[in-house]
Amino acid sequence: MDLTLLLQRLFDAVFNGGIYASLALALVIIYRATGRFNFAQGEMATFAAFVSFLLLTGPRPFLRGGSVVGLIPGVPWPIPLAVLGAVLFGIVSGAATERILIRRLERKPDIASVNVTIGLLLTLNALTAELWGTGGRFFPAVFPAGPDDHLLIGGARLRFTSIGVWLTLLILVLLLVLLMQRTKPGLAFRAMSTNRASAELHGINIGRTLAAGWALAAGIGALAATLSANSVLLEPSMMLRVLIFSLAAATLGGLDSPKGAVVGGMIVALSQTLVPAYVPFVGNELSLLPAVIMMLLVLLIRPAGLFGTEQVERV
Amino acid sequence: MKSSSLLVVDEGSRHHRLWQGGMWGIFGLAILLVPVVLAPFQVGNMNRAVILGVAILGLNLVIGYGGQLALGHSAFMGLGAFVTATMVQDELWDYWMIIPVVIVLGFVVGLLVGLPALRVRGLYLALVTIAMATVFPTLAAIDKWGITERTGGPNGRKVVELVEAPDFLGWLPGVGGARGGNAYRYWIIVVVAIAVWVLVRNLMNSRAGRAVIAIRDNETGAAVYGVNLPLYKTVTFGVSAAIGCVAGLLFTLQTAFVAPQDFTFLLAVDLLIGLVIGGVGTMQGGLVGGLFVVWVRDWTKKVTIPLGFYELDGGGPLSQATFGIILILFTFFAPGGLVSLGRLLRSKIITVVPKGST
Repeated sequence: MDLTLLLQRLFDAVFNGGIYASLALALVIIYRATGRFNFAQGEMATFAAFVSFLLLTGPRPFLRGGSVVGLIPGVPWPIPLAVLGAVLFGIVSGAATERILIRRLERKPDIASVNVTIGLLLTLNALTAELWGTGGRFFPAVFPAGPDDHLLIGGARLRFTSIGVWLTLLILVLLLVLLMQRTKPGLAFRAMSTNRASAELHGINIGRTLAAGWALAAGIGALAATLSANSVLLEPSMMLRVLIFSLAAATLGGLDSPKGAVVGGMIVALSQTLVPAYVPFVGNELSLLPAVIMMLLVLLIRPAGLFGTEQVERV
Repeated sequence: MKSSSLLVVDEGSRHHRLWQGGMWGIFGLAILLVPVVLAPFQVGNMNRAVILGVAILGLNLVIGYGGQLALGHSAFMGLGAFVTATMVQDELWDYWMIIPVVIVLGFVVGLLVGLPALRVRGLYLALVTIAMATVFPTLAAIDKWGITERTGGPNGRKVVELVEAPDFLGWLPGVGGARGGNAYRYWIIVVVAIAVWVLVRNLMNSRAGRAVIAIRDNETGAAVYGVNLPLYKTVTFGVSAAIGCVAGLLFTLQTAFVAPQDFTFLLAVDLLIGLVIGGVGTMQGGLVGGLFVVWVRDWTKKVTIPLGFYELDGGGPLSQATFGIILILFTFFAPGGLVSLGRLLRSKIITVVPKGST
């Protein structure tokens, strides 16, 4: 076996792994807060990435039907600011989505949440396509991505973008841990996800905490979308595939475990790169298959996922 | 009890029977008129609507009656469609001979997929089935083991062998005229749909059906009463998958062309939309939902909405947005779907006093 090639493939998987892990993290935060799934997570992120694109494009807007860009001061913005703008947009729109749509689902069955988030997925996807068209657009790389921007390790290239994505993810996880373990709002969030009723009795504002959870998740999603927009081309359905991989990652790791999301994201990305490379009958177009099979196997053995907590029913 | 409806009749009375007979009569007349009155392509649309209706009925069995969030029925439909295409083209079988094959195949595959369904619950099952729906199109295009030879790979497979009405069935409404092919297929599809409908209704009215509903309403309670949870859950899944496969067979019969992109996650979403808009857990919901999805999509593709400064063109993503918004609105404001709205309307017209209530 060619070790350099193997190493190169591992490095290639790192970038995707970081993106899947970020989006899976967003899914996990929402699942912990509400016990529900946000199937529109990817489309919300895509929309935020397009907002960042709007901030970047300057006086020649690609928006169909007229220019909004004139209303935004100082456009075009530099990339870091544009990414920050997308994240802020994600945070605000996430909180708004929770307040307007999701809070009405409190006492409704699971299928209602599936319907609403899938409805949101369709609507947002259509809205993005209507505003910006369905063609792929070039989005500048956030981290240096030139042909020479890489480290050579054992003959294999570890690209700066991959390092950047993982550094971002690590900082994100660190901040998240600090937020959850060391701050009042984090404590409120943990109390709410452990026992909603008694948290409410202790004076925690459930509505505000839920909205904060959605804001956080949508912000992380927006970051993931802007970071990956350069490699997958910016287009309305760009996160749909990523979402499926992230769903597999979150399920693998356990829906309520942030650690599981990160580990799951990496496992999924590795299987996506390595299995088609070394298993003869799995072609590249089948890269989702190993992830799905692993997800099924893990669920059969441990229904709660690798790091998830078992659900016990009280009679 | 005072009732606000126009008519109040006793159950089983002459008036009640008259009302029921009238309603069934109107429904029967509508079925008869479709292939006679509508334009040929509209009969084709109607065929696709009824086929979707059959698939949604199967989905309803799992979601509406079984209470399990299985969302990947596009894969079963695709399985039925591809198997039918290859049986007709390569093995030269007749369509009616393939019906038992796809039923058995769908049931077995449904059992296999349903086994994990025993372990995972609620949203986990939704995830697993969505993943299944996403993988299916790529599975159908695997370039190994002769799969592409049978499915046609990414380009799809054309079915040259078309069904034509035999002479002794030439009297069927519409079959003789310009709509010949579509009208004859319409009758085949309607007969199969009625058969599936009667089967599901009888199943749900039986001991097994009540057990399935008991599991949905209270799983622990049902288990305590001696309902074999694993058995009923998997068999429900299997039957539902078999119905999906039959819908797939009808799909091939109608379109004479199958391709992986016909059975993507979007078809699964269409089925879900049809289910929710028709009515979750109702016997009529499937047909209503199928009609809704096909006709509303057709309609939204034709309209253009001028907004003054901007023109919303139906050729673009308008129909997708319409479905998304309708799905959200129905979930909030009419969770019982169009069928429950219809029942509300009926209660304004007629109230049936059950026997022995006075």
